[in-house]
Amino acid sequence: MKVALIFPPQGHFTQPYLSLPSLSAYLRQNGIDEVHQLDVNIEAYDWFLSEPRLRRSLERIDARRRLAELDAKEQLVFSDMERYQALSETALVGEEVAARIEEAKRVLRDAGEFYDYQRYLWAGRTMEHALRIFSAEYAPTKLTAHGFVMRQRIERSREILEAVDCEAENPFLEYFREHTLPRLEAIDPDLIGISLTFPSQAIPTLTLCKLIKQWKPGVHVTVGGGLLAYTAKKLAQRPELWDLIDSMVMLEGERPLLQLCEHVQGKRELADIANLVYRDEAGVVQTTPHLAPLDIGTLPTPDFDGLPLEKYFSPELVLPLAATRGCYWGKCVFCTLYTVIGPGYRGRSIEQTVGDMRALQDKYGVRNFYLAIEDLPPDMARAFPRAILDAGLDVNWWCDARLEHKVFDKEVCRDLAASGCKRIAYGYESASRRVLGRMCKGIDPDQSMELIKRTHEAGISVTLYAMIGFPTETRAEAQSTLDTILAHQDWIQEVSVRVFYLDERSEIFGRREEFDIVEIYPDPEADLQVYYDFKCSSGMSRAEARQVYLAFTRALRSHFPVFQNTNMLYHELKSHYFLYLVKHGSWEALRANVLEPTANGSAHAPGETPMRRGDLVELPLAFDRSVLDDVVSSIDSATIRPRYQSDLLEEEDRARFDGELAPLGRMESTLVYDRRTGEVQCLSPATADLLARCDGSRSLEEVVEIYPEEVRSDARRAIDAISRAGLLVTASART
Amino acid sequence: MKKEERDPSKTEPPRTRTEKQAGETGAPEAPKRPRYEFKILPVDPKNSFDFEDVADK
Repeated sequence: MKVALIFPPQGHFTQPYLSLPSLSAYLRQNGIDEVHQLDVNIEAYDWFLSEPRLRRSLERIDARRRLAELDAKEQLVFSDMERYQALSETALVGEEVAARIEEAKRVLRDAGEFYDYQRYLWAGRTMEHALRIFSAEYAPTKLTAHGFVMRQRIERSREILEAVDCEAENPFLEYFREHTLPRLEAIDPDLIGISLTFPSQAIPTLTLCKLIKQWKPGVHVTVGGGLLAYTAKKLAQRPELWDLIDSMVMLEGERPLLQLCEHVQGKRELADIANLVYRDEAGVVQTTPHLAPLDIGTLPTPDFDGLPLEKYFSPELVLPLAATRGCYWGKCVFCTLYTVIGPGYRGRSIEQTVGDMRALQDKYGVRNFYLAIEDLPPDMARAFPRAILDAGLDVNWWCDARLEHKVFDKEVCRDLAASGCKRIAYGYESASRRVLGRMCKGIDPDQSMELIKRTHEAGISVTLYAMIGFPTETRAEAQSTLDTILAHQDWIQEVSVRVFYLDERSEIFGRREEFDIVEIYPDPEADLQVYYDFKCSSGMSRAEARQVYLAFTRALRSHFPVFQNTNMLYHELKSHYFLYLVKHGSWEALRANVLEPTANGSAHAPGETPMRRGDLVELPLAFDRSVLDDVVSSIDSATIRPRYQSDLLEEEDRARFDGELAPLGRMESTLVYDRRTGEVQCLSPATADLLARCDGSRSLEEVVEIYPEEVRSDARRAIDAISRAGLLVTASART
Repeated sequence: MKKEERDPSKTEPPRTRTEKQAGETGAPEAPKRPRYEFKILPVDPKNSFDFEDVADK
């Protein structure tokens, strides 16, 4: 009996997910000896971010030719501008990025380089350039470190099926054919299980299913995972789906998957398998009864054997571990996340969890753990740290938690820190007592801030989850949340903020009249719709909430060191910020050693001889790229037309902007790519000329004197700006 | 040090492509920036990250 378990794109690329290792361990414990785990997500990223694949992209994009066509135009309409961004970046950096992408991956995987912050930033920017180049090949499709979106909406099954066949815009068709199918052919599995957890995996999953069925129609393909808790029953109504898969597993997958193995072995009927959705021989969709939730104390330690642990883009392994399933609180009216793995809250014993850590440490040498739980339960918060210390485990870990001020007292915070807890992400949501009450959060905002302070003072990095636009929330209440966070920013290291979504499976959806929701707006074509746009008779409108959210994020970027410049981009990736915390021991040390001294260059003093750095790449353009960027970024797709988890514009909106927005006239600029940092600057012609004149032959004053007297002070300031951007060195630094 | 370049009148920045084309073809001049507008801005294609993108995985 051969089983292939697949984690499809797109998820994070910094650490493995828990689904396949949990299932593999259970199957192996129950006598299924040949279980293959394929993290196709990390394999795909590893290939897409490789020199041969990027060179293929560069050839197909043909950026210089297409950019020249745009540069020959008298003016650019909106959709031209979007293309111009991608083509100018590709033309400028493409060759260098392709040549050095392997080096960038090496930096992220190598402890000696990863913790050199300048090298880390360069590697991160290089990866981002590469992902944009790759995406340009499949435009408007966008693959980033955080997501994968195509023009097709994943709330509409018709569009998902359309995307599955779209050779020009779906990058996974070619990838799966070239890489995944040959691996599956070599395994020749009897059963294939695919973990569908995130919306970003929906199109890749069904794309893969289709190719598998073309290759081997008789193999049983089952799909399970968190997303299906929301969409399986709706998806099952789409007849074409059943040409791609044989069954869907609802809620936790261990027992249904084992029973599916028995089915494939001819020992069990599909109708006798719990938690299953399938189509019977008469073509009727059947849903089998749900089993009572598992006692997770009976489960084995997750088994990561067979995963390509060396391929994740982190220098040290961070392994996920679930000590609990479900949420011990389970009352927040907006939340449904804790329901996707089955009803009820269950936990492993503290001894078992410590044993899991030890077993994984012994087997994989891992020191770092992410507790993949909804929240740290009170009994565990009190006893887990001592158990880790008593076991003599040298580990670092982080998790989510509720702001339980009676639980996290000074002693508990101190013990948590002593046991290796480096980061806690708390569900803060709002500073308003009224809003928290309506959410049924069960927390006291004043006590919460005291707890945050205690956590910080114990040496644990604090992340807060915040929410904008909860029904009835006023602008003043949202503003008070931001103001409170900013007032206590010394104690708070990260904030993860989002706009409230109305989830049809949430408590609030069923009681929406109580929350002044007077209208919801179903999309008639969205047969898989889970989240609804709505109108509230009190508090902020949806558009206003979006505007407040954008203002909120701007404030976070300007006030929090982690979010400044491009820091957030890299640190918020699941493991990286945590690993930096581990490396430096505390937030204070990380800030002092790494985040604050990151300026590229400094202004030049009188008498110095500024010199253009020799490793810059320049690209003259017929249009001003910085003005163009302003125009494109002024369009907030979520304000125009909310699309859940996609910031792509609809074609009809794009066409409208082409007609309505003032076209951009020609105005030259020069892009300058800094090979050392990976950054790109846009220079006006005068600044580009000034940079060229800083050739090491003239002092600062002599360069300035080239210009008419009335602009010399401007030229002087511009040299400082160029210097701060890191494009100049002083002659004394010449080597 | 190149003495001759210290006279600004001899070393003004070259005309832009836009200016050359406008002058040479006799076409009406396109809108243009002031000759000595010193501008340098980091390029941000607004696709680095969105807080909401990052939150969910």
